[in-house]
Amino acid sequence: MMRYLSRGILPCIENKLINKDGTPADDGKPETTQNIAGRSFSDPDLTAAVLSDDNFKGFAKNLLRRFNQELNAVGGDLVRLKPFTIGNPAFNSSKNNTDGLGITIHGVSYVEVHLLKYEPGLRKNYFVQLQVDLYDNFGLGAEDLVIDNYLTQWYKWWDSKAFQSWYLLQHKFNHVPLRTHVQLTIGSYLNLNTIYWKH
Amino acid sequence: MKFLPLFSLLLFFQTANTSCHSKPSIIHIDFCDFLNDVSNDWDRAHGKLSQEKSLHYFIAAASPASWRDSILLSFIRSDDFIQNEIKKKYYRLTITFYKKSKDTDALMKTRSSEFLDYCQNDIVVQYEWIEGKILAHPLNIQDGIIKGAEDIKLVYSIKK
Repeated sequence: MMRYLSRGILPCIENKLINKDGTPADDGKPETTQNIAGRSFSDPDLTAAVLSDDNFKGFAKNLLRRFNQELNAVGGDLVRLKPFTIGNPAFNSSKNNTDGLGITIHGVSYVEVHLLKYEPGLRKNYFVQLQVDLYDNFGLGAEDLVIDNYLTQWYKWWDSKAFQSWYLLQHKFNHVPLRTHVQLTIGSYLNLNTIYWKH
Repeated sequence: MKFLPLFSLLLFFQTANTSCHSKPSIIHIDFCDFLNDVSNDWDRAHGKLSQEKSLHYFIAAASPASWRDSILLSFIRSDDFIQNEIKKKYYRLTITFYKKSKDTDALMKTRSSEFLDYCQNDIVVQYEWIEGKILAHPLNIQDGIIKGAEDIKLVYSIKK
């Protein structure tokens, strides 16, 4: 069931961690499930899946829109730019129930955004590039065990033993989850007054 | 006696008319409010403190008519708590309104701010005050994207 729900992404991750016979993948040193745990995990397939997700695209557009608004508020002076807060992206659409992002990430724990490039042009046009780091833990919280709606969350009931075992291993037997890290850069051609690059 | 049915009918129409225009129940999601220090180096060098305050409200009604600007602005004007917050002149004060959905229902049921991220697609509008002055245009948000930002052309790259 978990393989079905996460088809596309989880098998890619799984193949890098666990051999087909169920033993941990060898990357030059002896592995146990204990020392795989807690490690930072990044993967281009996971990052590509995040980039193509509608919720993430919405987050990226809002981020650039807010950046432009804040830069406009300080007259385009980067030194005076103030930090601002926007909500973390979440992979909780109905599509994410079956494309793997719901299982592998779902809610993002925290996001870091760094300014990589700022190239001013003519007529208040500029190009901006931001580095976005999404961090999450590949674990279960107590809220993940709650079934609010049996119609849309039937998989939690179907695989309840797997979810409960996963939760117990993490919270009672000290199997620290992987730290999922998705790093990507987003950019756009914007205009201080109108958002869009003015030709 | 013959006027009684007519009177009842009139009363019914009046009640129905009132319910169509009754104000929706708007609930303060107080456990999601936050206050952040957003001072930058320039502020610190000039001994200035810049703070950002965020307030969140849940509109307990399914109809889009319930989150018209006129209704929400009237609520903001009549709410003492919000008016007091505006008077504090934070560098930035944002008030976000969420519509009813399975995610906002879960948020209200669990009363855990962790669920707020799952409600990004349920934001209908966000009002902003910069140093006590309301911005001319509220941020209308549809399917999680601020209106006017949906056509931004994104340039992506992935670190290999």
